[in-house]
Amino acid sequence: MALPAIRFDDVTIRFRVARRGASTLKEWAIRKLTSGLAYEDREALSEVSFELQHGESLGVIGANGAGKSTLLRVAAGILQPSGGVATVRGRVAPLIELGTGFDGDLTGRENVLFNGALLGRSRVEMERRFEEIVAFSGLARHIDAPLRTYSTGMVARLAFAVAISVDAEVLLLDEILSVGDELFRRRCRKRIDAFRRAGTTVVLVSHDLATIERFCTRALLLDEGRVIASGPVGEVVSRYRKEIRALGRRRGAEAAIAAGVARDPAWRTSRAGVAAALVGSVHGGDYEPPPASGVFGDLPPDHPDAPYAEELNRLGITHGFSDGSFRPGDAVTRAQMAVFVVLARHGRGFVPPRAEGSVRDVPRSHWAAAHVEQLIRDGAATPFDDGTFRPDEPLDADDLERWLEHALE
Amino acid sequence: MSAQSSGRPSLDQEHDGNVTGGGGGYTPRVPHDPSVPVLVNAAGSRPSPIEDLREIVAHGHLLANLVRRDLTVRYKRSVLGFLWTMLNPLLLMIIFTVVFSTIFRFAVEHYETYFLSEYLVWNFFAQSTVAAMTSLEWNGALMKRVRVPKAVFAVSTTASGLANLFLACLPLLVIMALAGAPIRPAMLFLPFSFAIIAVFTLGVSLALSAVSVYFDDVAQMVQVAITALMYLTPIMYPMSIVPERYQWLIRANPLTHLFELARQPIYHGVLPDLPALVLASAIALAALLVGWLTFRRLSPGFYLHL
Repeated sequence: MALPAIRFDDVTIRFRVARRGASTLKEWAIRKLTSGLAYEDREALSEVSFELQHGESLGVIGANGAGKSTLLRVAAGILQPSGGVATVRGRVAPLIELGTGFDGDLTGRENVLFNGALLGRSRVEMERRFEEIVAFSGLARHIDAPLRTYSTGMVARLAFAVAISVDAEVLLLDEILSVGDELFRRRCRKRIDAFRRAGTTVVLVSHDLATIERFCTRALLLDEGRVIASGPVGEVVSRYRKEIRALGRRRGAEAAIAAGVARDPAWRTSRAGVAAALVGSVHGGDYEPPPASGVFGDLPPDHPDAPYAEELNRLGITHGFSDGSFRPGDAVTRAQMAVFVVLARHGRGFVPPRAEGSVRDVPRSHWAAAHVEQLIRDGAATPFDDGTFRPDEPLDADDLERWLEHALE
Repeated sequence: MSAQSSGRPSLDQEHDGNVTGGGGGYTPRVPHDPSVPVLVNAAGSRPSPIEDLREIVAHGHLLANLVRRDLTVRYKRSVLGFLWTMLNPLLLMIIFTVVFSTIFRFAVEHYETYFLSEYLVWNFFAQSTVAAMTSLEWNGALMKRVRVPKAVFAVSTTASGLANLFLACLPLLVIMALAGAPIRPAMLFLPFSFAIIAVFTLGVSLALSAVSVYFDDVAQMVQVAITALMYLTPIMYPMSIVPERYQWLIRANPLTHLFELARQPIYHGVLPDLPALVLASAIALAALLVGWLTFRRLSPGFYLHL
């Protein structure tokens, strides 16, 4: 069996974080005497295990603070695990936080040599590579000027050129493909492709899922230091996309709904509550609709629910009732919700195929029959055990969550 | 798994470097190729002192670069820059000479040589320890980016300080010649004296720099302590002016014994006697041991504090 290029066995990184610490020695001495020091352990990585074969490329994805960069630093040998073992076979080229360690008082040339030394290259090797590095950075004219005369982008280009100018078996890349202008980025991508073709093992951390899909064969999804998913890049990335939306939904719902539920728990499944939940689902994240203008007669612009109802109107999901009202306090029926969810999923103006009457208690003549059948076709809802849908019954909170979850996949 | 466990992440083999053109005509070696370096990053493993030392030696090239950077920046690439850095001790020397030989009137022949012989090593000690603290802080971002032995920064500030100390011997010789002080062959012993003092300085630098990563006020406290220490060491005054009952205080100060290693050859023109040499070496090695143990214990937490 071939040896893996990278292997993590239950790697854990634990930090002792001060809840009540001391930043000065005086404070520390006083707190020590009065036993006023308090710490807690936090895990940046929790029992992370994976194996990467020679020539494979792994994308590491996850939210900010999920532990992506920490994982990279363990692989680079910068951080020692608190538990477990990481084994890396081959010469490692870490491209992490490029540009730190560059000195403004030194010239570009001196910085190149100094950074080579930092990366553990020999002097002979750096001299041999020097011309190539300068050519790649495209900074030949400036190379003997002090670095403080460079722009940020120029420094980044030089840093990338130094870091990439190595024969490495393992390349560790932390969000570095966003460096420099488009032309330079293209050159970077080409260089990384060349490495991959030659058989270098690559670990790439990025928030840009398209980049991950382009460069990686496998992916690892991290959440709060744990591996949530690991496998072929397509599967893991689509799972992450789903999770981002779920997260956005939860947040959007929270932001919009917390206040409403606090006023009245039944508000959650009222038309106003559903409006907020749908807007959160469609736009995701922390989206806040623009201020209301008073489209609906029963929702004045200063009403807290008005922006969400009007956003729903703009999205073409509902235009209210023919008398110009929105009836925010009315409970949403299951049939109404079926229409909302189908329109939110398929976009404005979507017309489902004619109803077939396949659901027992939703005859073809029912006003929402086509949408109910579409919702079931989409897999978002299933009829009850007795085959009924009970379209005119009020929606319960569990169904609301479940339908939203499925409908927006 | 056949990975040799070797303590802290350490590259077991050096790269043979016989390939060219990153990503070009180059073919990465496969993981089971015996020439491939293996990094085993395991929990709980502590490097042995030998491994610690080997890692620093393996980073000799980086060390040389750090020192070169220090010196380049300090001397600003010019002879004038070099002279400029000599101006400070020179002016101080003149002030002290004037003050102590005309106002306080110590019965010290060639006061300028007496003073400078210890002031130069004092300056080395004080500047190196302070530089070690700032160096570790400034290079914090760097340590999060590449794998370097963290002690390299204290070693490099001590090494740059040592280089400056040797350079400072040139104006010393000029001043001695101008003042008509005898220049004697015992001065050839100075490299050994400086080496012992440097070992002591490295130990203190390691300990102080490690602690100052954790606490903001350590650097300020060190500044105060260093000023106090200067007066507790017979640098600008002879031991004979200190009242008998306070002399133990001066003798309890390790710097008194260490700096004698410089004064004996420069001022008295003799080699330090054996007991003095043994005592100073013992002090220096003890300082290095304490400093190294402190640094080793505190360095895993640097990541959070830098």
